[in-house]
Amino acid sequence: MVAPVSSVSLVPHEGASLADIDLLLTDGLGCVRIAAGRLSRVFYDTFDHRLHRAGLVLEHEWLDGRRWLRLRRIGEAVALVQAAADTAPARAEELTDRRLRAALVPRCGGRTLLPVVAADGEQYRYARIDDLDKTIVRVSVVTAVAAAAAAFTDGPPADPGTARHVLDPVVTLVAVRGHDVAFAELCEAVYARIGRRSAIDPLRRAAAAADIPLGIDPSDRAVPLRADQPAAAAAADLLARAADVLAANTAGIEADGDDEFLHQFRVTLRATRALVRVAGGVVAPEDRDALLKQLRSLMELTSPVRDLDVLRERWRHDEVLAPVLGVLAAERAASRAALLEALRDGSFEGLLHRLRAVRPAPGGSARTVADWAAAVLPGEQRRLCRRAGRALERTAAMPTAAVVLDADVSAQLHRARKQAKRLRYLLDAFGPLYGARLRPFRKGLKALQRELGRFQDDCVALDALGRATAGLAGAPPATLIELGRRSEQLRRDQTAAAAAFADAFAPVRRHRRRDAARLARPEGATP
Amino acid sequence: MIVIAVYNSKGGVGKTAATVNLGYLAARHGYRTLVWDLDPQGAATFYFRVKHRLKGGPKALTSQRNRIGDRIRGTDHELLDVLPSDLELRNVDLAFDAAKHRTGRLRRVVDELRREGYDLVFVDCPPSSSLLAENIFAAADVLAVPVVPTTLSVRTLHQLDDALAGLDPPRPRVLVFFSMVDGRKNLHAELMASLRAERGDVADAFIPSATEVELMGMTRAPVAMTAPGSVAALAYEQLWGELERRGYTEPTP
Repeated sequence: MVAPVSSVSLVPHEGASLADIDLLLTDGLGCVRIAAGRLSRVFYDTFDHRLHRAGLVLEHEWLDGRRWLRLRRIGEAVALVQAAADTAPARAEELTDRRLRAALVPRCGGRTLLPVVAADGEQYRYARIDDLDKTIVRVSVVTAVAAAAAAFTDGPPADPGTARHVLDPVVTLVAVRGHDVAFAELCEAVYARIGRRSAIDPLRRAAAAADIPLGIDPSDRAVPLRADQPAAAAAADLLARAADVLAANTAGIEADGDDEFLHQFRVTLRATRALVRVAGGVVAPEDRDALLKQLRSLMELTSPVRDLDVLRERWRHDEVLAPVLGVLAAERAASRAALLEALRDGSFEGLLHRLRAVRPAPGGSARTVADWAAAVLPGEQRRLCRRAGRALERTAAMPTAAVVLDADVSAQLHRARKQAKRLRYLLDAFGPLYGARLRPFRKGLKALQRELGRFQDDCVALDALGRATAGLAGAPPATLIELGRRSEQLRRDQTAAAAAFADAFAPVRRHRRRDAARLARPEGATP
Repeated sequence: MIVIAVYNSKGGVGKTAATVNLGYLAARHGYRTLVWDLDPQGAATFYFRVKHRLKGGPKALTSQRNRIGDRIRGTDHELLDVLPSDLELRNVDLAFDAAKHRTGRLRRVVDELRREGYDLVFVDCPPSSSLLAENIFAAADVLAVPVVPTTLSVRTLHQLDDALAGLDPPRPRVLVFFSMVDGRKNLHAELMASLRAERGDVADAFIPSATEVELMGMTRAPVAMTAPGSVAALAYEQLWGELERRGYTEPTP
């Protein structure tokens, strides 16, 4: 993307009224009034505010009866890309304008664009013109009130009513090509007379006024650890961060705009549970037991919704499976209702409180986090090798095609997968203590987890397809035949995943002694 | 960036009015747009209230030492800039003839313009079938060809077909549209019907002969701005819509 023409935005001195600004621009600086009208904007971003973190702002704007999508760099008034857009954006890849798609898809991936905050107000446009009656500098003054975002489609958003957060007006000057001197002179004059501060971030400004947090990335669980930090303090930091991430995702789960909120919520539950499981001697036993119980019960509620989200995403473009998705949508609604009920009752608040106020185990204060990691990670790695080894023996002992039909093989592979995940989560938590030494191990583990995950996802998909097909008994024969073909495809993919699992496990098993030794020696651990 | 040259070797067919109005509509639809006035008469430059002067004259288009971006001027309209004309451009053929790669000079300027970040460039071409025309064919992605439904104007369209057939691919895509149409004349209606039956690259939209278009010389603004509800403004809107709908504002897949 090419940098647009120069622009400067500034907030006038406190106390400078719109009338003062108008008088300055017209009588004082010789600008002419061009137009005035209502300007409503809803700012959009992904669940984790990827655009904002990349220095971009996406606005769905209603101006003079027309609707626009504008992508700007923070601090720049002229859009990098803009296009007429009658409907609110949903996913970047589904935008009709090619230029917006090209700019947004690499940044947003498959994530949904969600409304973050709305700003509704007036725009007053001025221009400085030369002796040929031609515009040589554009000026706008925008007033706005910020409010919680609600997408608009047919017109500007409704009046935000009592939830109004009045923002200071913003004066923006935009250069016209070939008239840089006039632009610089006008900027200097406006800044000298009414300027207060520049480089305005419109999203942050509106979000701050409407008290909408932008700072917490709901997918970032990382906590910086020091090797000499007491284990109990590190556990408290990790669990408190987990509470923040869980809390940051709950509003998104309720709004149901993007599956990613639930996914991150669930990953955090799993990662926290993995940590609490190995926190014997670090966290007070009564807190540990209560947390394990609470985390488990919440995880069980998230599983069916998440599984169906994955299937929905996987089969989104498969027209044959549309009736199946219809059946599964009803299942999802029921599972989601149960999850939301659990999130709204006091036990979830209790879980967050317990995560934030976890007590240390009696007598465990001398242990450092490095010692804690050294004590638990090798054992978890051995457990993974044992479980994956058993699954491998079992799969090797039967014909390839029979692997996917054997319930015991599925169970063995599932246990291996769960252990691989636990180890990954623990490595995420303790990773800062190891530097780059664990990179080869992590790479191998990731590959192993991918194949195990593929096998398990196919299991879930086959199960759901079976359930849904039972509910489609009256469907046309052609549809049922196609569903049968999809089942066959899934079986074939599962067989391939089982074979690939053997290949992915080989390096993990081959280097298990080297990796165990490395896991036992985080930086700063007691020899 | 897509380069749409509004071209016909015949004069007085509505090239400049089409360029100015399509450029304005493109900008209003959110495209960063440049109108490049290659006609030494400088009518498009005049319509946008920009000085009729291109620093460096024809050499600005042939010498790589001249940064073309520095010669671009903004207009009264957001997202719409002009690369102005100059009376000296009447000698552009001589300058091209004296330069290396005589048919690829404009292509080089287009390559330089790509760095300026425009989505669309509309070129207002002078009536010409000389070396400049060859340069235009080599530089443009699309030729938008206004044709007055008269025998002579249609004849120039066939001459254009012959000229394009003699080029090596990639050739520009062509969109023919009728211009200055007088609904009272049977000849106009008959020629339009026969040309549409003959070829598939004729736009459904057509530009009527209208006072609002002639008044552009006085208002110095596009009709979509000065007379937004007029038949002429709606006709240009339809033509713009057709350019978009037919995919002429996007790169060839």
